[in-house]
Amino acid sequence: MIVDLEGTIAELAPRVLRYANARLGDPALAEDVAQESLAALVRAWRNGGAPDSAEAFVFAIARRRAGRAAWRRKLAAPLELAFGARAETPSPEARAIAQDELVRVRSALARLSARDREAMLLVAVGGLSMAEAAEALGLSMSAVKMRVSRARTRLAAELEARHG
Amino acid sequence: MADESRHDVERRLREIFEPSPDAVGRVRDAALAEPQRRRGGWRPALAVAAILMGLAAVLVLWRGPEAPVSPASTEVLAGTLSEGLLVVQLPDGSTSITGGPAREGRSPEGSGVVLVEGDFR
Repeated sequence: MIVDLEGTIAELAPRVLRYANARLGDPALAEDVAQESLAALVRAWRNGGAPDSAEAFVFAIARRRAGRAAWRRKLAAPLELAFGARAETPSPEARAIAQDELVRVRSALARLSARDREAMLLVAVGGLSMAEAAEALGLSMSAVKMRVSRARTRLAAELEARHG
Repeated sequence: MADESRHDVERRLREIFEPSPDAVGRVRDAALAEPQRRRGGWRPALAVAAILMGLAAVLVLWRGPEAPVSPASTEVLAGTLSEGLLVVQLPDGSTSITGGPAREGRSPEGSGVVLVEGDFR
């Protein structure tokens, strides 16, 4: 078990970033969300000590911030389009991630219900245990297990159908 | 078989959204660079409370002490009813007029008790 702040941050950073990437599909925005969530943990830790579950703490913040970021992006999209902010040439990184596999997975994820997708991403991508995901989502563990199991099955079926 | 497929799905998800080491490093360093303690979180609130209390004190002092209230006295006063107005002669010689114009063309009539409230010197 990691008990020091730096070790916790080092362990959580790739997981939160991966989760934010999956939620938002925008590497820059994902970095902002992950950084703000981890910074909140650092502040809380330094001011009042380590929370009971650093994972649940960080991911609860990350999912709220990712939700807000997604809304802001939706609201700003027409403005960006109008002012040509989206007309830039995609970076090599953006081109690299726009692969078939990514498109296929994202579209399969989009077919899941928002609740199932959220639970699935926290557990499968964020690497949370069922108990930590339950705490981050404010649900019972059995509810989270059910959502994750349903999402796994549907996602596997979706990907298989599209692959076949 | 189904389990394998599900675990494969999770592995694919993790791989596809794997962040670059550079991005992870940036996020980690930025988070750890957070200041030691947010200073003054409660101090502005305390300052505002002190200012509000000061203003309240100034308002209270501005009103000054209450004027002394003379003790209530009850006296029977005589008056006349004229043109719908009750005219009462007060003990200090002044005249107090109460009541109002007649309603619907009728003068008020009858008898009763009129309470005149206030103080006179």
